[in-house]
Amino acid sequence: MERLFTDLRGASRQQALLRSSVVVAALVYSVLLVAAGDSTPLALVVLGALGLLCVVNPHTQAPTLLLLYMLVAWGAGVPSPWHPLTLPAALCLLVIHVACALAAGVPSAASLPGTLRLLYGPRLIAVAVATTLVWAVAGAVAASGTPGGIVAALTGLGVVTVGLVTHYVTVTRPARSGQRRRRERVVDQRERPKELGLP
Amino acid sequence: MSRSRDTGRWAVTFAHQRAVTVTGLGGIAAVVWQRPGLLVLVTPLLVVLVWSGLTRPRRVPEVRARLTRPVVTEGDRGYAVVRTGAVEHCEVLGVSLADAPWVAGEPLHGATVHVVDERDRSRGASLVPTAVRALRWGSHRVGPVAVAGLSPWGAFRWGPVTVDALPVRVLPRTQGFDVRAPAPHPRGLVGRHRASRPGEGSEFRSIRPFQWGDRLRRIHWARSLRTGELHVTSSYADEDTHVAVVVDAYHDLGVSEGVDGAASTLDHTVRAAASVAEHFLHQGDRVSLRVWSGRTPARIPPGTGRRHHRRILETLAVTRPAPQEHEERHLALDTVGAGTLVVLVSALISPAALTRAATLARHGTSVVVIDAFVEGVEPPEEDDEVAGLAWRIRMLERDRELRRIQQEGVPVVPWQGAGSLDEVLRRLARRGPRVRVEG
Repeated sequence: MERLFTDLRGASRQQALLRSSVVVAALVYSVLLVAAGDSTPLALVVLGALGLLCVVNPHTQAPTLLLLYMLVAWGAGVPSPWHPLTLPAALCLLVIHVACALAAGVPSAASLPGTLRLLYGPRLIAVAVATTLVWAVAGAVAASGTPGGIVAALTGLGVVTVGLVTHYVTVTRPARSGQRRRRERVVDQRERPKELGLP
Repeated sequence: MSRSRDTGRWAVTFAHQRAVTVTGLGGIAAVVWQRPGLLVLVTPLLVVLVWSGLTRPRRVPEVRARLTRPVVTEGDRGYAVVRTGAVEHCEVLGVSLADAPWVAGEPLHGATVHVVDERDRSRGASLVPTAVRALRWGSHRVGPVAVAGLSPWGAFRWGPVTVDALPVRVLPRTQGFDVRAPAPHPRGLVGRHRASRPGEGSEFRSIRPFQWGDRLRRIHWARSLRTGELHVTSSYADEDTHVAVVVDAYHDLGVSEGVDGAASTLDHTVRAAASVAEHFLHQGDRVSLRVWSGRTPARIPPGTGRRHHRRILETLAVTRPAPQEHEERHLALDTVGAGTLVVLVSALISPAALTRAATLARHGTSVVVIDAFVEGVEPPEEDDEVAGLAWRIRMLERDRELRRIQQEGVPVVPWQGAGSLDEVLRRLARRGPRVRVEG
């Protein structure tokens, strides 16, 4: 625990901002939750506490716990199958996930280069656009009152199962060694510091 | 250049596990309870999951590390450059340095993040420089270096892979040593010191009648016309001297906090010796070095030039304090000849060094003792009252020994950096060569 706080104290400004975005997103989500339906104060307190836990501990399963809790809170607190505020709530989940992934992936004391923002900005926009499309389709389906039934449920479950199996097969494929198929240009190592402009 | 011992592998991160878990459970809940809203909530993570799966890196990169400057002066910065082979979909690299004594990574732990760009891909490798600052002279190690790579969305992580520590030699920082006084008794052939005898040089001595062998360009025409006899200007010869720097590294007292903090006696000793050697070498004098230590004794014969200077600094950099039994037996200075200026740098804790200096002085050698036990060096903290009393007694004895050696004509100068030796060297030069005392 002491090491975690040492890590947090030595964190760079950018890391601190990245981690604090988790709490901000969790708070925004709790506001959306209250606005969209009924929620108990306890649920909101737990949401805030889990958000803080993620700030201290982004490289563990704490963010998973937070996201699952957010889903459960939404399922239990918002009675309607579809709500317009689902879209910003989904984007809050995205922000929390990405912020925790990046905070956990790099040393906390390192300052994050501006190119990282340039890299992730367009990506986040692309995911947000895809989410908006799904949100609109789901809204249309909910508005049309199309009945679901057992066939739709089984089909959905089948799709989820196939997706998970495909993912498992893809991810567990072994990686190849870096020595093979190497297309790196051979460059004299002594040139490097000059290239970097270092003294 | 150091290579990684383990190439590592691309492993699934908690972030990716999170995306799978949340998407899977959220999707199942949405289907079972027919809640499209839940499906919308997990859609961003589903997109991220698919994106991550499609961009999983297939190869592990090769990693190497090297220092841009394997030899630095204390307080200076160098760079540990980590070279990582370009791998498709490896887009972020993180580098950090393990804590090592007397080497500080900047920022904290040398933590650096590098985003792989087009330039890296075109040259086939990413180069991540991490600043390191050497805090104290000596032989140190940078690292080990930990390197990790991330795939898009932080879904897969390679490493952290450990690269072996990189050796770095840190030379002592020379303080602003500023002797303007001449060396006492130059005896060499060339140099910048004015000799006591006439000869080829630049400093005016007198105008005297012409002798066979005098150069025509030295004729003083005004005097020759006035007197009707040829006169020439004569000059003092320019000579060099042999400066024997002797380092007493038998003991090290006080706490060393590196170049920015408190200094121990050995810190002062090594830095003073480096400064003295640098100064006289820049003047064109021959400088030799002798290190008295039970662990790292060293002897460098007289020499000049930049390479010799570097050799002296590198020898000083590896000095380790260690006492020696029967120290007086190891204190012979065989390279000391007539005209040599001996500069003994010592904390003067043991009387053996002072005895040796007094013996040399009695034999006619010019000796200057630099006292490295200067103000600011904290004595050892002893809880034991008896030990404390013994220390005070030893300090009183030391004061008495210093007074005695000064009475014998050996100047003792506390090391204070710039100008420490000016007055002493001037006095030695004025005094002239000492008479050799037999026995």
